[in-house]
Amino acid sequence: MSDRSEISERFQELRGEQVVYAIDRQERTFLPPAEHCPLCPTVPGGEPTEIPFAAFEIAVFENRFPAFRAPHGAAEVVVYTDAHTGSLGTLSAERVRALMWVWRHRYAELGAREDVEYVLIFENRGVEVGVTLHHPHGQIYAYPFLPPVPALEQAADARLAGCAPCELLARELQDGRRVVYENDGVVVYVPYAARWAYEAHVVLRAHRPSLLECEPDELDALADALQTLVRGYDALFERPFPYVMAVHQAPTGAGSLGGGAGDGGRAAQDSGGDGASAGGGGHLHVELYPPLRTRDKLKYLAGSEQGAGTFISDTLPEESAAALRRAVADRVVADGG
Amino acid sequence: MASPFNPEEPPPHSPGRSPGLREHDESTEIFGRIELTRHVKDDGRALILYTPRKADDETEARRA
Repeated sequence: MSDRSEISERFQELRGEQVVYAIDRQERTFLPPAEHCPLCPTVPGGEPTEIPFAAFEIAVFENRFPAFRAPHGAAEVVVYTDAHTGSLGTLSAERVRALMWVWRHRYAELGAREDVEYVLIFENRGVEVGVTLHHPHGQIYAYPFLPPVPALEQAADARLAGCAPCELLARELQDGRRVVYENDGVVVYVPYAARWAYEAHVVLRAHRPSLLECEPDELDALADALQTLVRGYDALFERPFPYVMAVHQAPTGAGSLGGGAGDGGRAAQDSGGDGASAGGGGHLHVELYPPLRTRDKLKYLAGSEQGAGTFISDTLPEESAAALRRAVADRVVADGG
Repeated sequence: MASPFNPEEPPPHSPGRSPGLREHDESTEIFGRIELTRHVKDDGRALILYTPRKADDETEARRA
């Protein structure tokens, strides 16, 4: 009988990728009622939760049902607030700005570990993308190997003979039709070859391999852009907008960040003359993959997407961007921005 | 019905609970515009609580 808590990897030869088996996750908490939410604070005299404090602002803890665990990676939960209801869009601007620093801290600390090759910060929002807890939160996986997507981004850098996100950002700004929102530090656009109807990329204007290389005002700009986008999403169809959000950063390369987070990752910041993180490549950006293609219709990954790996889209990125741009602008006006 | 808060016998809908802390560290670390305190839960998992700092010290924020 195998240990149910054991985590293992198998290499899928036909896809050339690792598959992770964490079968204990089959037992993880699944859509509990609000009064049984494990991410809420433990109120005095009340029943214990994952966070045994009566109140908190942002909390991070090791996932009880991890896909990775030391000494072979890590899986963490990032709880945005002690309020059970809400979303990234409804948090205060100050809280979202603080969240950027929490992300930066976790990237630095996890990325400094010898057993971590890549740190992925992400959020799944909505039951449509498999959320099992409604309390506003995200997750972090620290992979003991380089996953396929960052490897493909490195290949794109090689193909374009430079930083691919820098090149793609320049193209989007020159074209302009798919730009949804801009501020001083960040541009939001529906990419030229979006796979999802309302896919959006939130890209730092300056070449920053990771959160570690960002100036404080750039982190503020990132927080502002993310919150503006998700509020626009919710306004688009006047309903909570499900998405998968993934923070793309430079691979950390088996502890090569060094120094941990004690000095805020300054060692990594100083190690590259061009500001590159130790793992090589990477340009900080956040990608959002919403499954909705209309207010009540989902895009499914079906025959072509799963069998051939080719997305078939029912929408044009230019038209989606125009609709999303209007929703964002209306929401900014409504918010008094 | 079993209590959903008994860590040894969690109900199917709510197994993600922890009874408390093994180690409680009151010391605070500063990281740019946030500060944090580290704790260890009863089952050995790490828990970090973060609090935003006032953005009135730009120099310190830049150092992190």
